[in-house]
Amino acid sequence: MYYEFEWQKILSGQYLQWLLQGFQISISLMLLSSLIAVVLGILLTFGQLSRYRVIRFISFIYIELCRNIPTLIWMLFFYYVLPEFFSEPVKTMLNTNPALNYWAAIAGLSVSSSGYISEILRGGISGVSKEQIFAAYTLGHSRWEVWKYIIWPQAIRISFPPLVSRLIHNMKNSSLALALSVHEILWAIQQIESITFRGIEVTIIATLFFLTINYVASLLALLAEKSFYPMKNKEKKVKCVG
Amino acid sequence: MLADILNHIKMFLVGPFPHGPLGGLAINIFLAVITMVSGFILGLFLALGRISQNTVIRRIVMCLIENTRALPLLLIVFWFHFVIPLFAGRPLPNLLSAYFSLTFYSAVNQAEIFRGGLMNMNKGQWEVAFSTGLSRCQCIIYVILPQVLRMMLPSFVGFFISLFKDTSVIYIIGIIDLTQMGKMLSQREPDKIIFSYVMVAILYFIFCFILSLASKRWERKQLKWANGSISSTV
Repeated sequence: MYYEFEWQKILSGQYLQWLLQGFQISISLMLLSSLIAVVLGILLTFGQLSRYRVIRFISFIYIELCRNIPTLIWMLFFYYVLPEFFSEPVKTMLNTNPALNYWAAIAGLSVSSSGYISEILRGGISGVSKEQIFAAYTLGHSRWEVWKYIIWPQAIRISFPPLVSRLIHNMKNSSLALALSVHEILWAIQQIESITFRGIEVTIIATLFFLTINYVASLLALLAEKSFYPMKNKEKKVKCVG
Repeated sequence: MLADILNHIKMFLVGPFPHGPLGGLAINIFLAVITMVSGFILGLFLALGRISQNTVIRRIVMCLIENTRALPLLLIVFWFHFVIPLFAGRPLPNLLSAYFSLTFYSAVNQAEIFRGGLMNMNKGQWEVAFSTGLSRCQCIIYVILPQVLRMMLPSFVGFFISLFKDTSVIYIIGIIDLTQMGKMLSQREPDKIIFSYVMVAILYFIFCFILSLASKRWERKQLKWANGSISSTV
């Protein structure tokens, strides 16, 4: 087997532009969908812990739908089916909108991640022992103070690692936007491959891109996790001084 | 509505099967099951390599697993799509390249599940097994693995559900799976767009939901089993 790499051909002109655009759109897909998914997930968690049975039931149904239908189907659903529910003028406006596929991809990604995120957060919150909460109420703290000082710091420590791995999974899933021909990185490499037949070079570029994203995200997560343990860090410092 | 469902359910379930290749939900289930099995075997070897005493093997396997897990499935599919033709001299059939990439993906992920189980295994189990004179290999086969499998079964089922959902990706490389079936129907009969996609979603939902219920049930049973064994020893 002999293969001659031709980086020059790929990294110039139109192709380079497609790749750069692909990086940009991929990153924006990842960040926006993660953000929306976290917000939706937090809302859903409150829904799950709500006092009202109706809200709890609705959140349960929503979460099960999110978790048991593939992300790709969600994206296709938002792209092809959602405009059908509207009446004629809105429908044509949506169908002729060139950014529809981009927003459908974001909606699909964030909906399918939000169910998982909500389950993770709920797990973290139910990991905080009831006695601590009762004790805090007994000491006269308000509901808000209990959330802020007792539940939140512990829940976030429990649920942070799975949350990060879910968000990284969400970032990887952003490549599915290829199915809606959003011009993200895999779309770019597929186009370039079909024109120039330099499949390996472009795949290497995309691989490096995803590895970088993964390592940067892991590094940020590691730094963030350290900040959850202010006590531990202080103890270490004291030890060093001593 | 009911007539629509009855007319098209066969198409969703097996695709154009008697007159053409197998498709629809059947191909998703088929691919998910065989890649789960072959990924299980490959993943077991990867996990054993990962805890190997040989540093070189351990490093290589670790590097492979960590880096592959950072890649989306679609990119792995592309790798197999572009690289194997170089070795084979001609492009692979779509189904085979989907099989290879899904196997690789599931092997790497299952290796991680195995490793989780092996790491959580009580140190005493290893020590007792060694002290009865078993070799490292025997110890893994007879003592550690059976317990790991039992302990990690819910994780494996969870991974199977996610693998099954991930098989929907293969329609991008042109296999007539359930997603593609829905898309084809909606293109042929534009007034049935809502029907076809909702149908696809419902079929996926039913299959995954039943599996996740079974997984939860098994987890509860296992918890009971673990509690029972603790109370009986105490």
